[in-house]
Amino acid sequence: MRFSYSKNNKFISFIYFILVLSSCSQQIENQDQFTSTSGRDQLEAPLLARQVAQGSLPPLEDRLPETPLVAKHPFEGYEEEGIYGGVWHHMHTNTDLGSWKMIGGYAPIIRWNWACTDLEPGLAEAWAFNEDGSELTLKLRKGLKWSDGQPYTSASFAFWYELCLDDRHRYAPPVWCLVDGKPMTVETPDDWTIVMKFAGPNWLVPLWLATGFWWCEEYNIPEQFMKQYHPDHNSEYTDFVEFEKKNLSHRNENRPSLWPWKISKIDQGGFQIHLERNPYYYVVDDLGRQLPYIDKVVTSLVPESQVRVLKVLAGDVDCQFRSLELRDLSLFLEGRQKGNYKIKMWKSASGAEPAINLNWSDNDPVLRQLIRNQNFRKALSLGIDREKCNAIAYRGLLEPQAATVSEEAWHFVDKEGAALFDLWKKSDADFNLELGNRLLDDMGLTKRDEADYRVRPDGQRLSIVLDTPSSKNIVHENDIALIVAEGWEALGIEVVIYTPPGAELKLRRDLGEFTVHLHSEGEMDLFTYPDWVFPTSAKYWHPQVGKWYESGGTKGEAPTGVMKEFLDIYDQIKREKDLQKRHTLVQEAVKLHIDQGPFHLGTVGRMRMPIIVKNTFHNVPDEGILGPWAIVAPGISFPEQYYMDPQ
Amino acid sequence: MSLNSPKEVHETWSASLDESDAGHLSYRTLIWRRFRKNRMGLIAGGILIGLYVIALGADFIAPFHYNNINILVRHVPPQAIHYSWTDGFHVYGLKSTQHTETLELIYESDPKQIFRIKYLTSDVNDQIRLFSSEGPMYLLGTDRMGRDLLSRMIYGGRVSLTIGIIGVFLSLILGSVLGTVSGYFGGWTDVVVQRGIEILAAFPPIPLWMALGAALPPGWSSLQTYFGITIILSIISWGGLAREVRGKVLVFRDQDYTIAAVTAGAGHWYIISRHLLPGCYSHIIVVATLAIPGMILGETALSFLGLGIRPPMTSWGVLLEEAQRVTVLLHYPWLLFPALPVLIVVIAFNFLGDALRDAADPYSG
Amino acid sequence: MISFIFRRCLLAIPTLLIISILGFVIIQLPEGDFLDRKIQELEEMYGDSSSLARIDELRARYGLDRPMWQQYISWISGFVVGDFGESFEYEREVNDLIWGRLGFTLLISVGSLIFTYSVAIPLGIYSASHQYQWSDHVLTFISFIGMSIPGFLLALALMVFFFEVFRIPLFGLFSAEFEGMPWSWNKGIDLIKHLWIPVIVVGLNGTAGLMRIMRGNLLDVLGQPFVQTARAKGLKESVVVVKHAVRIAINPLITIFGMSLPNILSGSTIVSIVLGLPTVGPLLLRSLLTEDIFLAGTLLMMFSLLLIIGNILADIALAWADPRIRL
Repeated sequence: MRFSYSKNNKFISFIYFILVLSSCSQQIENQDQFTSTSGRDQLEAPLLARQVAQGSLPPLEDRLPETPLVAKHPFEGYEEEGIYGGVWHHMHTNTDLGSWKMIGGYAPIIRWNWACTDLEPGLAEAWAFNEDGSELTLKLRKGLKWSDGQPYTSASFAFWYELCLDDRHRYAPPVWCLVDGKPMTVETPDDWTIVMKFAGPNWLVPLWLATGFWWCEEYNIPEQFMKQYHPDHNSEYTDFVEFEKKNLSHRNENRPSLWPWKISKIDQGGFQIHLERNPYYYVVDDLGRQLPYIDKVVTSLVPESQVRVLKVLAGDVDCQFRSLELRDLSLFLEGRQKGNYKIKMWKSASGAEPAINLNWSDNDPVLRQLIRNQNFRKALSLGIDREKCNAIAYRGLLEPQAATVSEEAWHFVDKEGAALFDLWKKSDADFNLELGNRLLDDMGLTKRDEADYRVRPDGQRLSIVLDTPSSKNIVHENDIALIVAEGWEALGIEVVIYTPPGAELKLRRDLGEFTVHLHSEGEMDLFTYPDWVFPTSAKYWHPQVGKWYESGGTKGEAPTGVMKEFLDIYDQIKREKDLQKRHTLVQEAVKLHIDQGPFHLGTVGRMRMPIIVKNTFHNVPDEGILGPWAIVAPGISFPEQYYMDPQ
Repeated sequence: MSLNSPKEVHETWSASLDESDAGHLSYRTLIWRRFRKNRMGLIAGGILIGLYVIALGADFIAPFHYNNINILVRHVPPQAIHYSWTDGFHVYGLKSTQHTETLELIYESDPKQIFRIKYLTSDVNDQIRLFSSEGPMYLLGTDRMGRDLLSRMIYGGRVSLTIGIIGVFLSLILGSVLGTVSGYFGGWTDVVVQRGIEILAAFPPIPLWMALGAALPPGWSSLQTYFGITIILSIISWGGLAREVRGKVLVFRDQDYTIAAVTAGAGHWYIISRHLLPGCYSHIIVVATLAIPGMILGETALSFLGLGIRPPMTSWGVLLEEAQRVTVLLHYPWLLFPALPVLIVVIAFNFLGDALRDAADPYSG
Repeated sequence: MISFIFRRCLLAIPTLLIISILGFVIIQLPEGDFLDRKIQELEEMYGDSSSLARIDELRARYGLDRPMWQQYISWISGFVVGDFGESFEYEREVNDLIWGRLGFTLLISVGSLIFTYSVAIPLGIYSASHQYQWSDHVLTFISFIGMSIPGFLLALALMVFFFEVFRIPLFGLFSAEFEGMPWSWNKGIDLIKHLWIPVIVVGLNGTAGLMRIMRGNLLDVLGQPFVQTARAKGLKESVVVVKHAVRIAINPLITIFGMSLPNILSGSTIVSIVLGLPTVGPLLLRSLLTEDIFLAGTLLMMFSLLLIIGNILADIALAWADPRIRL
């Protein structure tokens, strides 16, 4: 009795058909019409030159400002002036394009320089304070234009500030516009001059103008374009709802920008973003040729980490700065040849990966007493096996140290600063269980309960809840939490690891309801982001004191003792005119950390960040700092001067 | 046809099934006899019992504690056990070097270092263990923190296997009670319960999960969290079982013997427990047995999404999630071993369930 | 029967309404709202959330400072005109997001359904007609393996295997050259090249289960007297099996088909996450995890609707197949 295989046959041949199709290798034509091979002898991209010849674009002299910004490259890795052309494939992980804006979204009035030691001209050619620091005058470059050809003048900044003061619009003036609670006034005597007047000295404003991509994104508003959505200028609109929607650069392809590549297409809800060169871009290279070299950027949303890894290995990515994990380093190293890329090891300039923040104002009064006792904190610090953390989480590539900010920060560039930083790195950063146990014994915590845990003064077991992010998101912090728990248990302290799903961790941090939590730490400029060292915000190890400072004294806990000292120093910094003196004040605060700390405990620092650069991609710095977002790396390396080999 | 008492009806019915045994055999014995004939079912049952014993005896059987971190032996590949007259069962020591380019650790066995396997000795924490050794004894390799994979699998099995059973047991009780009531009484009770099940089933388990998971107090230990999670899992899945039971009850409700019982004046509970439920028992047991693997796989899925068991506890789902990386698949493939017990357990439960169904169904064969 | 269907459909409306309310509440049960989560995520990924400088303003813009019932009313009232609200995460209309993904989701699900049924049924028939021979045992064993491998592991393993051995990158639905490009023949071929891994992985579980059921049903039917009669009449075995037995044995599979309807959208979720596919499942998961309330709520309603329809179909099939049941 033979059974008929007809059904199976048909199915098998169907499968075969599919397999044959998929095994045919296709020579796919590169359908990109932007590739071009010439360009070194030209002052502008051939693509644009063609448009000028056709008459659809003004000539180069009319598009550039009178004194264009010349891109600098004070780093190793710069090869030579580039050729025009190419498509840069990139991956991002969040629909608001943060990781791309760190590359191609930096168009501030004043810029950070490459080493983050000074400020340089950006959209402004020059700026100056008056005698007492209450007035800042900015001189913009003449002839700057938006990507749609409209002139960029001081009116743009004034327009933005008007919106801030407008009650109907949700934005309030940012904190750096206020002195003693009074907002500044903005005057524009002519198209190229902006005068900001404050109620008192406000020396840090240029830093704020240069910090991050988000501030310049805000104050660079294309007022000619946006006026059509403004209720005062267009009677169709009665509120700012539509205005705000259209004002989002990552949502509105039509919005003019000052970026080197402007957004030309947003696909599938942010799944893929196309950016094309900005014909009015104001930066040129050493030979006076208009930047950027690269014609087009395509960045895809890839939320799954393993797919990102495979894309890198497959050579699908031309240059990727972020969203890659150190854990996959050996895989990336192995795949260099097949994927045709090289790896440049940048640093994240982190002082603690992660830092262990103890809540200075813990809700439990007994724990609070203990945490405020310096010896208790020292003991906890001595209970952390940093070598183990290093080996397990980072393959031994990082350095065990106390929790500090970035070593490259410009406060520690001079000799004393560097020496002080070195001391800071080493303070209480050893692993010494014996000493730790002794310190705890000396504090009087000698009684033990039946499980051999120490007993607090009020008779309860000494137990600490350690807020840890879930291992799905950050494996290394999770691993380190286990190692820290191991160490502290050896000191006789019970550790409960708490990894709630969702945003619970952040809420506990905001409300100050945690006892210990983990947070990575790194900062290049403590003037604008002081809260690692100074308790100025309701975050990290100082939720309540920070809240007091932020709210102007109405909420939170009033600072006493060393907390008050910190805040006094920071207030002095804000009023100090001399830069060098400001650095000295920061160093004073660091001395307090060394003498009276540790306030937050370090594990390891100096995180390495692998950058993937295809072999056909050039002019990327060999080494750099990628960590703190405030300094907008790699934006400060002028990515518009990266170029690609012709296809 | 004379009206017999319900008891007699029942007994004549069951007696007709097996001619070789005249007299009164209980229903259970009958099922057991039929089950015994199914070889695959017996093997599956045996395997499962064995696994459960190993898992429950984790503290004794596993060579190491599941969180025994040791940075010197990270990512060690599986080691072999050697035997010789002089040393008995032993393992070799390890030498490690770091690859200069890829920074990977490479391990070599060092035959000069011999570590005997010791039996029934106590380890650092005074825990008596069946096998252990002073040196590295990583039969299935180690993970990124130098923790022995075999031990983690055994301890993880304790969590995964018990979640399966406890969770299904809870679902069972809830589901069969509600399903029976719904099917038997019909009418508005039926409608309400059915709609309730539908509403519950249409709920996205994940946010319900997260909400309930987040509601667990922070001070709870992993163990308490584990129990909380098990209960939550079972609450979400009882609806399917209730539906099945209801279907069966609907059939039985209209059978002749039920009508006969009602006419004879039997009370609701009597009918339910003696007529409806026994018909459902086989079905319930089979469905339950087949639901356990679903629950185990559900735990792996939840851990994959990061919503399952939390550290420092471990389970098969957690282990598989840790293996869910390209680096692991290419460089440390032994970390995929936990997939094997999952496979075996699921297959075994399926065979067992099949065999039980064949044995319990009076209409088959 | 008709009145039964009518009644069930009518009952579906209040059910959906209740689901929408309860779902809306549950989505927001976990602590914090969308913005809190976004900030935490930014900090976890990049250590820095300063880019979200204007948090209170954002909160007001998204309407997250309104009480829940207000959010619900404004959302559900939009349903009538087909406006399902906006997603916070992607900052566009929910409509835009869903319809684009829906096509791919259906492609994968329908593909895997076809795969499942066209593989499981013949194999089940084969297995039943060769019962207890070694081929039956082998097939049974393979089917069990198929039923018990966690999908995410299989997806990743296949993806890596094909990448390492054949250097064919199979993640996502399109290769880098075709992404964002207009449709063309080459792009269609590229799509098929990428499609078969998700189809097989998603279909594998169902295939194994269905095969077992087909086998079981067919065995039941083959034991019936009428089959013996047909054989006695001298009919070829293949005719007996295919023309007579299979027709009857296949009936319950229709019920199963009805019950797998809700899975069309959600069945490929985990595999899609691993392979990075632009389908509805990962969208729902992400929106639930980030508390993107309108997107999540809308997707939930879609899934619920499918579930309800599937249940109704299953009940109809149950009643139709088994005349002993009075509803």
